[in-house]
Formats: sequence, structure tokens, C-alpha cells
Amino acid sequence: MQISLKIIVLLFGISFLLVFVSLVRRKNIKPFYSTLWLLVSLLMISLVVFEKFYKWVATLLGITDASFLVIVSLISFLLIYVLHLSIRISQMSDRMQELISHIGILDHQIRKLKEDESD
Amino acid sequence: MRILTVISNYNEGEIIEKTIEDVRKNASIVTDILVIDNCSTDSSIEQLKRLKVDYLKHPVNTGGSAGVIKTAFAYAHYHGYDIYCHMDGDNQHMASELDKIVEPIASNEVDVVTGSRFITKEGFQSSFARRIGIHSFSRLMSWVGRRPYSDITSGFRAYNKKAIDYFALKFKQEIDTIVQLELVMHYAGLKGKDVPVQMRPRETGKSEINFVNAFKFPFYNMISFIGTLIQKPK
Ligand SMILES: Nc1nc2c(ncn2[C@@H]2O[C@H](COP(=O)(O)OP(=O)(O)OP(=O)(O)O)[C@@H](O)[C@H]2O)c(=O)[nH]1
Ligand SMILES: [Mg+2]
Repeated sequence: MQISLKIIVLLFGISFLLVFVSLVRRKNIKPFYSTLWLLVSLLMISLVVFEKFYKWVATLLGITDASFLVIVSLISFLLIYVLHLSIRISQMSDRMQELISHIGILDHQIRKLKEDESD
Repeated sequence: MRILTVISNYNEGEIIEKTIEDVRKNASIVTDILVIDNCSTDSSIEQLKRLKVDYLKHPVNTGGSAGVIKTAFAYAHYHGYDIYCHMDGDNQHMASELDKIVEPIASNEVDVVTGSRFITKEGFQSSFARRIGIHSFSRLMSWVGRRPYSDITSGFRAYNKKAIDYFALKFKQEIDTIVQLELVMHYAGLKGKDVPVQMRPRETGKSEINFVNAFKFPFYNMISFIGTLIQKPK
């Protein structure tokens, strides 16, 4: 890896880690998701720190370009993660619809009961 | 036979009174009236209180008119109605034609009836661009559903108990578009039919179909349609 690229990746990884830690601290992100993002930022930093290791794994798999291995694994990780989020969002919007309907019906029922009382 | 007529309202404060008065004075069937408010941000709720009409209010907006229909199914089921009729709050549908959409259900002919303005082609026919969209999706749905669909986005509908129960008890998913609703009903084995009605042009208020949405809607409909096609039978 070029030295300038190393610096960029390292800075990116570290700032990602910092942003992520502050998000967890402020409880803006659930522990489950925080673990996933921790992995991403650590992976980025490790790219620079353990460059030799990745090269070794790459040659072991018969891949000459180590960066290719890294890019492919990052993209697959993100794809799986985005898929996971889509599933979660679908579940959540279905549940939200159910809740909106039921709160509406209960709210209407309570209003009716109160009206009956005051009559 | 207990019939519920739901008027769907989202920021129709200026016209909702006319819609309600139309149903109160001109309804051609005996029916209870419920306005379902999709968390309007205008004066709608004050209007509804003033008009002393029974209303149900969503705690948040569902992001589209299909959410109101799901609530209506749940409500109709909860209160044991036999038929649920749906009308838009913008006074485009005519209460005097309610019997037309209820009759095929009351006689046990079908499970769902859609009021269509494109059978006799009388009354308000909507804009050209809009018609192209409606016709294309109606064609598509007719091909998939093996029966003629003519006004697929029409909100003027009546559903029987079978349809009410299906959506209240079995189909616990969010519905994104009316076109998707149609496909879901087809897969659920609910029999449908279109009957000719007339519609009035929208007088005031904002339509769901504005310039941005004119492009967004077909895509959005297409995506949810294809997704529902893949999801298919249970
Ligand atoms: N835009 C919008 N309308 C909603 C919503 N919830 C309920 N509605 C009601 O859904 C009905 C249909 O919406 P419209 O925008 O009139 O759709 P349309 O009748 O197909 O389009 P027009 O012919 O342009 O009026 C209206 O009575 C709205 O008040 C919502 O979240 N957004
Ligand atoms: Mg309308």
C-alpha cells in the first residue's frame, strides 16, 4: 500500500471508531449494531497495521492483489449488513402499522367511554 | 347487516365538512360513519369535533393512504361490521352511489367491489398523465388477476366480512400502495368486481399526486407490485 493511502485509511478508520464510540456512549445506537460497526472500524485500521498478514492470506488463497481481497470482503460485509437492515426495517414498518391501527382504535374506544360517562 | 363507511382524511380540513355532509344527507345505504384521520396537521380535528362526527385518529402519519385502509379493516373487525365501505375525504366520491358498491356484496356475488370512473367514462376522468398510469396498472393487474380491472387506484370500495377478517387477522403486513392491496386480495382468493361510478374533481387541498410524485408513484407502485408478485401465495 502507498504511504499516503495508508494514512488516509488509518485516519478514516480512527475517526470512524471515534464517531462510533461517541454514538454508543450517547446510547444513539443499540449494542447489537455497535458491535458490527466496531468490526468495520477495526478492520479498516487493521488493513494498515497488519498489511503483511492480509498479503499472506491473499497468497494463501492464490490472489496476487491483496487489496482486492480486502475490497471484496468489505463489500460483502456491507451487503450482508444492508440486507439485514432491510429485513429489520420491513419488520419494523409492519409492526408500526399494527401499532398505529391499534392505538387509533383504543384511543377512539376510550374517547367513547368518556363521552358515555359524561352523558 | 351492519355497514361501516370510512372516510379517509389527511389534511382535508377545507373540504371534509362537504364530504361528511354528503354522506349524512345523500348516502343511498344505511350506514355508520367513521372518519379516520391520518394525523392531519391542519384544522381537521377541530372540524370533526365541531361536526360531531365519529372519528379515529392515528397517533402518527402512516406515510400514505393505504395505512388508513388497514386501520379500517382492524376497526371493522373489532366492532363486528359485515361490510366496510371506503371513501376519500376530498369529496371526490359520491355518497349517493354507495348502494352501487354495496349491492354486489350484499347479494354475495363478490367479496370486494371497486367503484370505477372508467367504465361508463362519465364525470371527472382525472388528468391525462394520471390516466396513463391508472390504465397501465389496471391492464397489468387484469392480466395477473384474470378479471377486468379498470380504475385500480380508486379509493371508492366496499369489502365484505371475508375481506375484513383476512386483513384484520391474517395479513399483518404494512401495505404500501393500493395497487399492492389489489394484488394481495387476488392472492388471498378474494373475488372482486368493478362497477361504474362517477367522481368529482378535487376542489381544494393537496393531492397525493404532485409533480415529484408523478415520477415517484409509478416506480413506487412497480417496485411494490413486483415484490408482492414474488412474495405470492401463502
Ligand atoms: N396524501 C395523503 N393522503 C392521505 C393520507 N392518509 C389518508 N389520505 C387520504 O387519502 C385520500 C386519497 O388521496 P388523494 O391524494 O386524493 O389521492 P387520489 O384521489 O388518488 O388523487 P386525486 O385524484 O389527485 O385526488 C384522501 O382522502 C386523503 O385525505 C396520507 O398519508 N397522505
Ligand atoms: Mg382524491
